Amino acid sequence: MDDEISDENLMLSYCSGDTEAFEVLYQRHKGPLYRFILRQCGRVYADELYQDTWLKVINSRTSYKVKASFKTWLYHIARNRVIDHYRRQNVRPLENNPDSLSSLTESDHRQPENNLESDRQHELVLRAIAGLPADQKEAFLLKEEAGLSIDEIAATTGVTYEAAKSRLRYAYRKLRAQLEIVHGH
Amino acid sequence: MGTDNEEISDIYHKAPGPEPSASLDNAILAASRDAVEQPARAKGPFSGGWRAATAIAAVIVITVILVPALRHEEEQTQPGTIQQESRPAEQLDEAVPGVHQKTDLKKKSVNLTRPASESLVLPDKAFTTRDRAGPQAGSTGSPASIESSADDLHYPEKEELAAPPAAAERSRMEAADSAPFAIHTPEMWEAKINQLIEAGDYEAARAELEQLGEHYPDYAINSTLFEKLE
Repeated sequence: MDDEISDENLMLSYCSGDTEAFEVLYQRHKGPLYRFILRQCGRVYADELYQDTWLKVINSRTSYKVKASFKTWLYHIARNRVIDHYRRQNVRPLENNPDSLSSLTESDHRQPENNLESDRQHELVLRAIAGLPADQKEAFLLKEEAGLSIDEIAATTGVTYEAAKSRLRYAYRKLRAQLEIVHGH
Repeated sequence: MGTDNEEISDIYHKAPGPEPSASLDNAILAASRDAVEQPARAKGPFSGGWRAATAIAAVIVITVILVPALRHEEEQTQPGTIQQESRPAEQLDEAVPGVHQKTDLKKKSVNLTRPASESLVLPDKAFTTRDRAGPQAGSTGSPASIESSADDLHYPEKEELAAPPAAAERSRMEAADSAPFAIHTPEMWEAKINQLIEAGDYEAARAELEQLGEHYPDYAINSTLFEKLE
């Protein structure tokens, strides 16, 4: 059932009262969505914003209509929560968030089984992501965590296709540059 | 570029990232079940609690504060309230028993608002004529208009009002009508005399000047008035 049914149909089933459909939907998106928020806002606020995002989905149950892909809608809600968070904290979204760096590196300690080189590379990428400008970081996470296409990233973030593509290109270029510096290429 | 991106993507996904805690999962899933199982609670008649409360509060505020304030203002701005009350009072007393209580109260309130200078009864016909013609905005409650609203005020007959006034009388009326204030002080009295002089009614101005001197024997009357009247 899980993989066959689309997100939109699962959401519609939930709107009709099928709570199991929501659980499937939740399991499908919980990890990527959590990391999308965590890597922008840090661990302190991630839980609250993550819960807010899902509560918004739950409360939209009675008014939900399929206008766009569920995933785009879900990440649009999450993005708005992140922006609200920045506003409340009186921090410009484009500033690098040192808290997000700590949350990124935290995950590395959970993987003692990985070999040293692989761990090192992973850590480097995570650190480099934390240092990206917010709009590039957002585009990168939407691509890598949510698996959105450039079109969908543009729709979610409210920018043009070219702008979304440019943000992604800059993000990858910076990450690559970081790796090359370390490897001495 | 594509290959490079894939390499970074592979490195990024090499380790599974952090996940929400089990308690967070449970809380969200419980909320999703509650929303389905108890829709009535979520969509009750007062589900938008603060909206209903705000609306009720707004209605109460408007009713309690604004309506009486508007009524009060309306009463104050109604033309001829005091003057018209005084004459028909007796007629009303006869026609509608019980109404006299209200009018008596109004009379009392008029008397209460009468200032200490009650003795300032302006004998000038021009003033009484103006008051007969009806009050002007802002003159309500002023000593002059109150005085004219007294019960012993002379009410003109129809013929009297219909007859065209003599030239001197007319100019006196105009001078009085153009006075933008009621007389409270000797300075204002002087101003009125000045207006009469400017209107060419020297006789009335002299009479006023005389009255002023009688009412305010200690007041130093502006000497230019005497000069103008000489």
